[in-house]
Amino acid sequence: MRVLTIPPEPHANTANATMASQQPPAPSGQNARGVRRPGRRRRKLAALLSGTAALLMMAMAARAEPWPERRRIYDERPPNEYLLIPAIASLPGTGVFLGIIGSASNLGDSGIDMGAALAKSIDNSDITVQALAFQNIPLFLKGFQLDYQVAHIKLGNLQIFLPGRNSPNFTIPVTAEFDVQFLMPNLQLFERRLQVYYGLGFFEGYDFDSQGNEAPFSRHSANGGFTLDFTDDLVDPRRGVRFGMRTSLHAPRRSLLGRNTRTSNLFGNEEDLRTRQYQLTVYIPFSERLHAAWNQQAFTTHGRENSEQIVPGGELPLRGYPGGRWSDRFGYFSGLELRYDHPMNRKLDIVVVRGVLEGLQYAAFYEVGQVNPLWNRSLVKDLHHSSGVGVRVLFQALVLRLDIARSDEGPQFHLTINHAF
Amino acid sequence: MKLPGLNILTVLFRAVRRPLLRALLLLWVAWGAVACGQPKALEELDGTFGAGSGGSPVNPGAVVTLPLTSGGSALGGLSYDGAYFFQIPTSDESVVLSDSSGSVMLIVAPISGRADTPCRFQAALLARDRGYALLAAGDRKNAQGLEFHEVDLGPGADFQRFYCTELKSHLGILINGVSNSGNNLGTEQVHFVLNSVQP
Repeated sequence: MRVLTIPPEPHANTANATMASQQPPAPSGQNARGVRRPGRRRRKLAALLSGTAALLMMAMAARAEPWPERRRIYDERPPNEYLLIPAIASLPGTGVFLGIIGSASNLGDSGIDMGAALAKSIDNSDITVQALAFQNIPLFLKGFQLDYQVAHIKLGNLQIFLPGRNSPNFTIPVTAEFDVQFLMPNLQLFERRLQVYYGLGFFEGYDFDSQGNEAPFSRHSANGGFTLDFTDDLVDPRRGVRFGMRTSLHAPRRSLLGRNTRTSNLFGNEEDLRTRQYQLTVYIPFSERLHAAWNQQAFTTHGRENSEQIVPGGELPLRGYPGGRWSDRFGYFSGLELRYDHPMNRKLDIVVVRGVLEGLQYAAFYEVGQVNPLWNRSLVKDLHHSSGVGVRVLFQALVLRLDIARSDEGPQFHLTINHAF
Repeated sequence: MKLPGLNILTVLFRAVRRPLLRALLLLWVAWGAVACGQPKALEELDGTFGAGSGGSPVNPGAVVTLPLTSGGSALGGLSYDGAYFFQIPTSDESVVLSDSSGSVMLIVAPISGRADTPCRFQAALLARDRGYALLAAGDRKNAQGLEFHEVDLGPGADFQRFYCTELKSHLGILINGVSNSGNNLGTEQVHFVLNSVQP
């Protein structure tokens, strides 16, 4: 009979007991970094497919009018419009929440937007969230501004999945309580068609030390990126093209937000990992009311190549699965969504809501995606599928989204804000 | 007298009434379509361990009691039938028990944090990396009234069960049962060990 070994420290709460190894051996035909070297025929085929995809993309982009006029100039939005409503949110993989959300735009014609949320989960995830966010705080140069978010979060029974392509449909409970702050200076030019940003996050909470005692813990994280947005609207685009790239960056050990303590088991030492995410979306109008959104995403993670652990670099946004269901070092996602508009344009000015209810939007979507520890053809094999329908309420510069999606692991119910892409 | 709150609701409802009703009807139909055919869930475990069945009966005269520690401090203890199990020496605070034929092994290791996390984590790792099937999971109590989280895994290289319980604040133990047969993990000898665990 096999004798089990007990390697050290695999995960947050498992201090001393790991009884399973982490990673399957790399397939043959790959170099030390685990990247397959394709042969000449394979390279030709890849070039042909890439060329065809690029041509198709260009044709679709041309149909989508690559540089359409903005339907709405974000910087000219009316001042002091607001929404304060009791709300239910459903975020698969996190929980179902009941709370109050507040949103106010262009406060005192300063350009500053504000959002706040008080929410508590009403399922068994036992999560409470208190959050406050300020956006578009103008700095000294035109187009240069600052976003700031702060939140206190208590996770009583969050259920997470193991990373990895073969991750089972079996959750692992996590308990934590922490504060998180996020500071994001950003530059937005050409009616926000170009956005460049740097994001600095600061986590402050508790973790377990090697003796199993709770100890204070804090850590910075950083990322940066840019978005090229050649669409007719930032919030609800109906024609045009949007491309974005985001990368994790080396984070400082101290900042005006706070100072790092030690590294963590709970969230892992992520400083030695570099995750890059790429996203391209084409919005194609078919008629006055009907349009399609075609989204392509990929993420890559480098660092810790010699580790036996599976690296959860990024995760797939497939709506038919809980959030975080599929994560690994590399990932690919493609989604197509048909959107049908039902314009209303009704002015609301009552105690809790002031603004324009622009209309409803009905949607049907189909998505595929896969994750893999290696960047090779396996990434597009045995894809996960997800499909569903949804309805959105378009209120001023806010999209309230209700989606029902399904996959081979059952249905998921999303009630949240903003388009999926 | 009209209540102002009712006015607000009336204005909101009139604004979105017809299209929203249509949308809700569409979603209701869609929900009915997607909610059917859900994948089979794991068997849920509950109740108590009981005395177990099959295998050799426990010899009361040969019972050995072992202390359990974590970081040098006492956690509690467990007992086993010394005529059936023998202890394999280890270099750390874990305890490894094996029967003489090598068909059943129990590995006891200290854990920290909430007890169900390492249990489910270890089981998920085996399912992901070694092809085990997840058969059942849930909470069961031993004869001392201690609640254990249990996860059962089906045939891979062997059969495995994980039992986790908290003995002190944030500290507890994980018991990993390993056997070449699923029945061997439900015997009187194994259940005697599980039922003996106490803080």
